[in-house]
Amino acid sequence: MTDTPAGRDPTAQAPLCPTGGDSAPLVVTTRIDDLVNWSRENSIWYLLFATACCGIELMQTGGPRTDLDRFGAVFRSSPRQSDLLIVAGTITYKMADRVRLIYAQMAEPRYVMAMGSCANCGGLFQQSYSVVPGVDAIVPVDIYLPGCPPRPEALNEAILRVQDLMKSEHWASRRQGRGNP
Amino acid sequence: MNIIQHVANLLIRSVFHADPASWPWTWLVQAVVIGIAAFLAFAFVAIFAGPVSWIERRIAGRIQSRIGPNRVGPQGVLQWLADGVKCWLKEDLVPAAADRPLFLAAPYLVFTGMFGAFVVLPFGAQVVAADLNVGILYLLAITSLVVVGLLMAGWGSNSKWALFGGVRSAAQLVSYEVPSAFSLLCVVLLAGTLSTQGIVAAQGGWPWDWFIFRNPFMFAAFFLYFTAAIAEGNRTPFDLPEAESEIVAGYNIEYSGMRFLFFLFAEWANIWIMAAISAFAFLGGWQIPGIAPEQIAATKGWEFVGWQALSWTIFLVKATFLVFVVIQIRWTLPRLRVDQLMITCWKYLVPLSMLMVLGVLVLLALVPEGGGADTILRGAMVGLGLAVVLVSALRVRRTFRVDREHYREMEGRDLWYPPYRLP
Amino acid sequence: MVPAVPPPVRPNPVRAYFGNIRRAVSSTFEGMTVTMSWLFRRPSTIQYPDRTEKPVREMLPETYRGLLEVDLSRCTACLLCAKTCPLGCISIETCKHPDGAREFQTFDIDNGLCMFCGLCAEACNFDALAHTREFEASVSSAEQLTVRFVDRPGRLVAKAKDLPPRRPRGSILAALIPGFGRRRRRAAPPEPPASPAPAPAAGAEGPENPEGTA
Repeated sequence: MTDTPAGRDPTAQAPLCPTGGDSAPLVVTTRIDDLVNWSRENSIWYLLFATACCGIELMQTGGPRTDLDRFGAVFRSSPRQSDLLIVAGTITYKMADRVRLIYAQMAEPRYVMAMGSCANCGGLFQQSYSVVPGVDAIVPVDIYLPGCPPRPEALNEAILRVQDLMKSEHWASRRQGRGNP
Repeated sequence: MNIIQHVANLLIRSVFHADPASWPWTWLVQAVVIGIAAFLAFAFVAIFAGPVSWIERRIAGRIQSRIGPNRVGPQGVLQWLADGVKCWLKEDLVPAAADRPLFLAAPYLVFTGMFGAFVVLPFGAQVVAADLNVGILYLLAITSLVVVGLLMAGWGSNSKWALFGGVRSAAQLVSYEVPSAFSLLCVVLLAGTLSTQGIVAAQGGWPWDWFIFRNPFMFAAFFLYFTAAIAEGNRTPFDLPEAESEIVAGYNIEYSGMRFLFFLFAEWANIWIMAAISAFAFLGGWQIPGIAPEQIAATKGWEFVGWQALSWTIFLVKATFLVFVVIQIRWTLPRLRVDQLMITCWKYLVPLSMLMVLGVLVLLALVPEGGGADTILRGAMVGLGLAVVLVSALRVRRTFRVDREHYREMEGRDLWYPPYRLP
Repeated sequence: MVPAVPPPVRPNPVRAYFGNIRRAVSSTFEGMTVTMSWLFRRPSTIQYPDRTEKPVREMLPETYRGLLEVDLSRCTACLLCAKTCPLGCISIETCKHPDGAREFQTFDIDNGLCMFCGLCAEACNFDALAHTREFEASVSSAEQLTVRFVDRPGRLVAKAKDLPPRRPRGSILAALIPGFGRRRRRAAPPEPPASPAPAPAAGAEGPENPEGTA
């Protein structure tokens, strides 16, 4: 599916799997796992959680130019209803408790993305007395996204990575959860 | 005789070869038919709520210069299915501090309140689950049940934001019941009946027979009712109970998975219900232009079915159009503040809707129906409606044209991209 | 005595009341016509991974600072970049052979730490270290955030006198990172010929918003 003839019908549809270029052709999914994973990966509701400048890019990614809604990813403001916690920005030790709390409030299956240098490893403020050196010290992180801050397309690509991750999982085992840190 | 008794009697006669009046199991067959009808209505809600959520997201996308879901299935039409399956399978969290029975029951109560309204909605010429003679009263009462559910959700969650949301929605729904009831009272005055089918029958198929174009007060009452209905449905610009910027997610903040889906479900069902009420109370309901209801009732066999289907289609088209208007309003207006919300209701909508009732009463006494003055009034109101349509179309055109030139200067491309072109 | 601040003019409450109604109706009507006109406008979305006219990295500005990349065949291991970096995200180690040649032990760039300020690329005298226009770098473990440019042992440090030409930017990263550039692009649907279509006909969308005054 990498290339299609240029004269293709403009109304030609995307394949069932939305990750774009290297996706499988349209198949009727029969296995339960496929169906479940298909529904999960196409409905990633992310939590509005922005603590620093990465939050601006997070908002931008939901905006018109890089429309995350194309992939069914919309924001929810309550952690109970969201599937993906995008840690966008610097996490201080004071904030760390809240991050854990938010993570604990999310319903399984839940995913965490560390967006930007500060969430990855503390970034610019790594040496600071008050900054957590990487959010993976407090919650399990599934996807790391470098950038300071990452541009919207990079976040979009990371969402597609989360989709790939979901596709490769067994829903039932993921449903058991990893527990709270 | 309504459709359910009709179908039940038909079944008893053709399948059991018994006389429905004396057969001892008539009630059982009727109960089964009612159950099937309820299931159909439920399926209708489900099938309506899903795709419309996708359509709303696409429309919202276009209004915000984005695209909206277009990856899941052809042009994203399966988006609602993905959302539904995912929510269904997500962990169903109950907070440890929650009031468990209240918390668990609230979504279903909300949904029941919405769903109960379907009983009296006149879908077609003979198609109504129960043509109650207190139809409008029943509608007002059953949709108020939602308040109890929302308050239960807010209280049972044992979270301050949820409680705020629940109390806000209780205040809002109770307040806006008043103007919406007064506006519907205008309709009742004109129709002389509370029954929903009676209200539709009192109108006609042509626009000048609709209640909205009967006189200026009805015209205003329609907009008053529509505003109050949007507020009752907790839709933007009146979505104070779930205002993200103030109280996170309102009454549903602690709900996850399936129970949250039920809240969404109820919201969509409610949009449909308020659009349907507006359609049958003001816009002539299922009335087919040029065909009187008695003529439909007199037909037999496939002709009868055909007329039924046509009337059903007309009703659905009117209601769906109003749903689109609700969606467009949602993505046009910003949210009100709490005090503004209450001011809008008690200082503006309530007195104005009372004024409309008075005006309709006065006109009822002064202008006899069918007289020359009545004809002139109806003609003028239809003209006014057409003028509103025309002026808004010209405004749309002007707004578009100005920006089109700017766009061409900046981007070198044409701005014209009609809604049927799906990127 | 004239007060410094004139007393506030109290509007006539009746006029204010009906003025509010008029404003509510007219502003809602105005807003509805504007949103309706947006339904006929071209969305500004760039459909990122696959449905763009050209890859997103080609749309980026010339000076965009994406992931760092070093061409080791041009690197003299002068450590200027590592010393310039405010965060210390570049770590370079070399060892010296008995014959005087130096060999790279490590040349690691920690993408997770890097803040893409561009100081290192400015410091590099030989155009070895440079920003690419790549940004697709999400990984699933923290270790993978560090890009190790020494791909094989025995990589000698270049001499400043005879430097090979710079390899195309992005090609080195592509060889190093598995699954790099995985979001390939499909051919964009062809744009229909721009027709001098008139603006929306007045009646075409007319019935859409008689409730514009709601």
